[in-house]
Amino acid sequence: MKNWRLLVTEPCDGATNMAIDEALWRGRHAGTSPPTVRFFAWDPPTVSVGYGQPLDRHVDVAACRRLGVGLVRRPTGGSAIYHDGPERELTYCVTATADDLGVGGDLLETYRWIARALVRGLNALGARAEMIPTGRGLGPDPAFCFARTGAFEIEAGGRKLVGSAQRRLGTSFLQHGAVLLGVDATRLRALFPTTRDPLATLTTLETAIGRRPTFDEVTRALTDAFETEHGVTLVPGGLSADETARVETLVGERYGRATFLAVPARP
Amino acid sequence: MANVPADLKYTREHEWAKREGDRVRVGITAFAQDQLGDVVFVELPKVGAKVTAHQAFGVVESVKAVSDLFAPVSGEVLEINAELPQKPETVNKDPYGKGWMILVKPSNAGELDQLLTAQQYEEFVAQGGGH
Repeated sequence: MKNWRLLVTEPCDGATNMAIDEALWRGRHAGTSPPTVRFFAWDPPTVSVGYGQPLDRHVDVAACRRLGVGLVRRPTGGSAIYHDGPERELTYCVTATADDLGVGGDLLETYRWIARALVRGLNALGARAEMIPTGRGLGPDPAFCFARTGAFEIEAGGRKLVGSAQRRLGTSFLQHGAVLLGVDATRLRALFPTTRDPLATLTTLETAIGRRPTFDEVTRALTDAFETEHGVTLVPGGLSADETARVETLVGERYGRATFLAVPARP
Repeated sequence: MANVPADLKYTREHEWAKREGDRVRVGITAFAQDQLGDVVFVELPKVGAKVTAHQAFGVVESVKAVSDLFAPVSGEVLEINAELPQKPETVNKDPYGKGWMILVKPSNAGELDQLLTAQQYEEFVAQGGGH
């Protein structure tokens, strides 16, 4: 049994959350951090945009400010996501190398490895979730993440339940994704004014299992699923001193900066 | 095996490097673009920037992932492919030609010799050294 770290952090603002994910990944790439599965939530609720996504009319920045919703640019690609508080959303993050997973370096194999665990955990909750091998609705990137299901992403009842994205450096990677526990439809429509019907293509655990599970319940189910599906042991831990220092640097120099939010920074 | 031109050198992170007199042109391999899928965003350094071998010089985003680009050699960026930010799909269509990324004046010509040959790169990919 391989030991991985299980990291469950308190709800944080967007800049801190993205800095933690990147610090875990940079540490794993350097060999100073263990492979890690992290579960977390957002405080305040936050819209995250993809690394190369323009911050344009598709996300209503004024509405974000009015509603007290944070804004952050992710290190990963794809489209915008609204991360509600822990009562409606859980975000997972996996930082590892292809060797940690025991799969080849094929990009999609890492997605598949993680999706297998997620599907197992969601189904343990009763969600009837399934991995979509080839993706649906391919074409130009939509502005709203849950408008399209990519390869090895997860649906329930034909609608997207988990939206995931990845960053890579050689064979090390960071993958994170949003698991919808519930949804605030009014707020989604306010934040993504050009998305015709944000609810048309998404679903939630609340819909899939007939009640809304708690953040802690989903954390336990997904933790068990990673261990059972892949024969790893997730050992609860915290951030190391090096990781904490890197988080502070990344917030100050990158994720907390208005210029990085407005346009992607150079590496 | 995907297209691996014999006259180029390669990194384990799937960049190619081509000697052009005292300069080195850099891009990503056909295998890399195939793994990434449709490229939707490319971020390159500014002309005049210094790049360091084995460190990131830019970023490429596809529908599947954001990937850091590794510099095969150290040196100064003399030119960038200014078309790519507007036409990122060129990386998929012509990775060894119009999809090139940066032209570097190397500060240490010996670094080029340390890169993989086409045959070594093919073996590396065949052994599962994927992106």
